[in-house]
Amino acid sequence: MNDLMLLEFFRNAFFMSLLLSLLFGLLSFFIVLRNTAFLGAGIAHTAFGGVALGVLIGIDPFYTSLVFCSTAAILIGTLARHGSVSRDSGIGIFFSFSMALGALFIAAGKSYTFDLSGYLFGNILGVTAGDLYIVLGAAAVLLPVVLIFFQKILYMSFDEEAAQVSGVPVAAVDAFLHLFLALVIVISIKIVGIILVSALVVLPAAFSAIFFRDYKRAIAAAIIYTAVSMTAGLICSYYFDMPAGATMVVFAGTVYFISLIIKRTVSD
Amino acid sequence: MQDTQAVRFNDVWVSYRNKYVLEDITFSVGEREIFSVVGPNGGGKTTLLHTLLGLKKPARGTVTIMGKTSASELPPGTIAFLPQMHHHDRTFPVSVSDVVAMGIRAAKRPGQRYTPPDRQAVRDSLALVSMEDHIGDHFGTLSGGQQQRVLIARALAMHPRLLVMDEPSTGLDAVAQDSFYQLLQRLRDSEGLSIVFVSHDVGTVSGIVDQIACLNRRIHFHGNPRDGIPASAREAVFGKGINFLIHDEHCKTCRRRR
Repeated sequence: MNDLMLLEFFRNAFFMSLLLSLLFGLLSFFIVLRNTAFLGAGIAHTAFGGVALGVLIGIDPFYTSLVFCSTAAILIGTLARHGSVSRDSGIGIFFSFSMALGALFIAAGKSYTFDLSGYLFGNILGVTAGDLYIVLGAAAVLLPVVLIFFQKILYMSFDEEAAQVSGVPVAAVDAFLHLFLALVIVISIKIVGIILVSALVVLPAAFSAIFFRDYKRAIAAAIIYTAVSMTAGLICSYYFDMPAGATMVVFAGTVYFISLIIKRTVSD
Repeated sequence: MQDTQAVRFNDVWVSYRNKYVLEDITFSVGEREIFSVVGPNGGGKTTLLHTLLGLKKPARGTVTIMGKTSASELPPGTIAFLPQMHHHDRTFPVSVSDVVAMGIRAAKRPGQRYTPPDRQAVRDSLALVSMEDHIGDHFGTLSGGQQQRVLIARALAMHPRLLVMDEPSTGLDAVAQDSFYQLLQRLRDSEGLSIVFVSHDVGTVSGIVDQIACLNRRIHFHGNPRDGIPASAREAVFGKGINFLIHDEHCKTCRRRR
């Protein structure tokens, strides 16, 4: 373990995982309670078009995918709110459109050095100190905002119309949560990849809902569960020479299923 | 009719995608009055409530609510809204007291704390709906009728003057409905609340409300149901050959205001 920490990429990935656990644990709670779990998968896949465009025109794919994902996140929310298209349909349209664009960009670029599987399933060897600063910055901005407006977000997640009548600015809070999700997803693509990141959006809250009926404990449990899964996956992946993102998600999924079985057996 | 009015609609028209779903809506709700809007599904009942609450802007006409032209000009909590009972996710990790405190906590500015008087307000509102013994229970384990009461307590904790509800009796069994309507009358009399709710159960609500409006895109009748709803209005709203079984004075839930 100590010698692992001497490896720069591993150290960066380790601390990044801890910070992402904090963000995903909190975000997952609201996303799952608001029944918008599919949004995570949709926004993540939208990143593909952005990544391919970045590679094609020579800009860091982080920025291009951030533009793609946040635009999609805001548009999906706005269209659903105006009743133009249902949220699920909007997600389906945006993510397939963006992935198709991505496929065209890749074909146009004819770049053979493009690490496609790294973007799809994550590649922790690419994690730099710069990435760690980005996630630190994101956490420094997002966490205080969520803590200050926590009760408003909770009320809205429970009962959106009643919250709106009580003066909660639901459209603004909704847009904030969508952007928050887009940013955290784009940041974590390097570690877990486009395809696997939606597991981190859904599993933390799904896991904590098995055991906890108090929202503070549920959020704490979601954060701890994510932190344990991500760091355990990271360490296992090193020793068994497996892809880190996939190991994290398989670990988290296995813990989830075992917990579900234990809970069912105990309560019967 | 009282001199003061909680709600007044004056020639209100509301459209969705260039099609009018509400036409020429004019009515008023007095203070300390229970007002029910009845009508078929798709008749515009929920749209009418949303217009009242300012969630939907009318194409024509004016809405006045507690003397203001929009619900948003009133202090938070003055108007309480209970949307149609959606089946709250039973795993949602909140207790009864968490739910009742939601409105109070959400109305706080950053830095303001949840205080002992707030806690007391939560207990008092639960007592008003006879749910004080369930304060620590997980919300998801309550029955539909109990959840409904807790949601009303959440509204009461904000000391509202107007309570607006969309199909509040849906999903409640006969006994729960009965005690729910008694609760509404009690809140009107002891808390001085004005109450507006929509329902498709014209027979039951006719016995307990002060005024009823039969809505099917237009208001076909508006008045005290005990004075009788004209056959033409019943037909326009519910179709031909419908007989209402209206609960009368002898029904125990039908305590008229003294």
